[in-house]
Amino acid sequence: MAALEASELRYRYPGSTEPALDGVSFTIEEGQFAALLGPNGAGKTTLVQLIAGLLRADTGSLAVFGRANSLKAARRAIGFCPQELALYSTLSATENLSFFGQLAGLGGERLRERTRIALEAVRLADQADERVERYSGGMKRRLNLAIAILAEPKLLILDEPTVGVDAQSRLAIFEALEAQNAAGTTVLYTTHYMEEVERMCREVVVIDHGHLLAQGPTAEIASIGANAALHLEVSGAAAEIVAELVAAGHDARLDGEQEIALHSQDLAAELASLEALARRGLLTAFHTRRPTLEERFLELTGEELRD
Amino acid sequence: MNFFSVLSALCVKEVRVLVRDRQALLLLFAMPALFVLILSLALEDIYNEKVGSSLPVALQVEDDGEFATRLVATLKKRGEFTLVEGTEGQSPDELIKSGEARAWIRIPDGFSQDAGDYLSAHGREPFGENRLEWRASPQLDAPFRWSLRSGLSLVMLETILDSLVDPRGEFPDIERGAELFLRESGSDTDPLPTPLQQTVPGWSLFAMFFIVVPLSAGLFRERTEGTLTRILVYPIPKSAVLLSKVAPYLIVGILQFACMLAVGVFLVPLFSDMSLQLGSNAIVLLPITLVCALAATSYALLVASLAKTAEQAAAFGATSIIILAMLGGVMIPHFAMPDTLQSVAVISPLYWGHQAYLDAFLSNAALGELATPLSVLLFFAVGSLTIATLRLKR
Repeated sequence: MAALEASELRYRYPGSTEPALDGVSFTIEEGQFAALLGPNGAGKTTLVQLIAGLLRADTGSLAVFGRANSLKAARRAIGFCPQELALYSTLSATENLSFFGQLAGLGGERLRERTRIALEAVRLADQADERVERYSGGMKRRLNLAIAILAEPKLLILDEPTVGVDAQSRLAIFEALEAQNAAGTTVLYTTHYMEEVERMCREVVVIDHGHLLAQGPTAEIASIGANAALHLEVSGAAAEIVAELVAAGHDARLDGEQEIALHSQDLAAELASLEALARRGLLTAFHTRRPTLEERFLELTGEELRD
Repeated sequence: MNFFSVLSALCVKEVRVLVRDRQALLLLFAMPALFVLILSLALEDIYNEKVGSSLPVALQVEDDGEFATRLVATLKKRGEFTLVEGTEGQSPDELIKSGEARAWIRIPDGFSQDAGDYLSAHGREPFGENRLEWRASPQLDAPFRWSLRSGLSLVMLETILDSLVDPRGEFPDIERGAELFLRESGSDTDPLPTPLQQTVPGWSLFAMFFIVVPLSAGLFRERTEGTLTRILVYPIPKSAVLLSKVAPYLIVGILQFACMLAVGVFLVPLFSDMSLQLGSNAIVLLPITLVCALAATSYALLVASLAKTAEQAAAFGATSIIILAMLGGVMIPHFAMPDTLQSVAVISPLYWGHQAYLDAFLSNAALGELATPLSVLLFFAVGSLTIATLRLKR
């Protein structure tokens, strides 16, 4: 069953000439751990707000576990972790959780039990009664997540949940999310950190300028169309060797003082060039490098700055 | 989850956040309580001058003649003067500077002799050099100087009359004459508020309306920090979110008024002879306070909804409340304002609230008799709340 099904979503902010989303369609299956990627201004936050029910699409449809997301039952299935630290700083972690838990429909012993579990999941049980204003940035991020997972949502939406946190807190967040996903929660994860996506997300949805650019398994998306790279370490004048390779029709560039990056769709075809360089005593070492998701992402969305 | 459970959770959160905001509590409770205390004491003199209190006067008698003795006796009978005696060696200047006396009267040696000569000459000869001498504190208002001057003239005339007429006659003294021949009209139907009746409701209203600062700051904080967004993700009625911004502040408004009442009833009497008179129909203070608190909360939400930043809301909110309070008679009693300002005052919701309280205190007004001020306030509250709701929904 699809946890999330978006069809031809369009949304234009009042007063804006360009649509923030222009006919986006995708499906996230139940139990999936998916990343929603896009540069600044791509339409990610708009899409997240549409899914969370904070905005209503101009046209198109959005279903959460088969139900329109405007319905109470559909929204009850959603846990939302906003990019902001949406916490009451003068309240304790327990009080924050208790408040949001009640809004989610929890109460009594169940609320206390879920509060305890959520605090343990983000490793804040020992500081549960401290006021949030005394928390470090990482602790606040973890509490932000704890609120999102408190009511055992079937679909967890996370909008850049690890911004500005240290490695330890980030690891704690990863572990909590992986545990949630392992327990059956579908996760939609928005981030700019590609290594996080490569570590956790099995599926990737890439959008830009309000359009869907790609969707598929993470490894597949990273490798599609991307040129593999050969890294050469040379002993001669690297710039002259690059010029020679380019003149011979290769995609070569300097990648350090004595290093050259050689990109190609067909690595086998490059071996002859390597052999020639080796014979002339110019090649001291070489290795191949798998294309990264970040490279693929830049390839898809371009290297132009987004403000 | 039903509407009231959601509302209850939202209200509890609102109260917790407010209670932990020490600055807001100081602003909402300590500041107005202090204002009530200080301004009631400061207004005591103005009020007394308005209602015609006795003027403390230092008397320096250097003449022991018969006329001087009669004059002192007449002065002591007069209601508008209270003769104060300084400690030995205390000069009139010192008595006035210390505030114990507002004026000084000196009966010089030879005064009785000169008065006797004047009477013997049937007033055809001018009074001698040894005249009654008086001096007033520089702080004394002109009307009081006139009152002092004419009072002393009357005392002189009464003493002269007393010396001339047959002591067996039935001529009244001047004080009794005022009662026999004159009747003041309207004093019973249009009483003036005492300083506490003026300041307690006035500063309670000021404090209630000042919630614009913490309420708008809190609302903006929720908007910028994302907690409001997070709340709105849950499938709960938006009306509960808005109502949670009103209900706790109604209770805060009632607590503020109770706090100011306590200051008026218990604290101020520790420092002065004043005590707050609530009137015989004090039960109406509760509905008045509820309506005033509703108007105040609605105004705060209106300001929060119209402002673009928290700073803008706080600055505009605070400034507008000060202006509305000034117009409404909180800082300057309405009866002391010029006519033009009195007629402009009706635009201030604080004016209507203040009038409702004063009607309850001074005229023992029943709820039905407060229909006009309470209706105006309710209309103001509904209007503000409607605009705020429409703005906040966007």
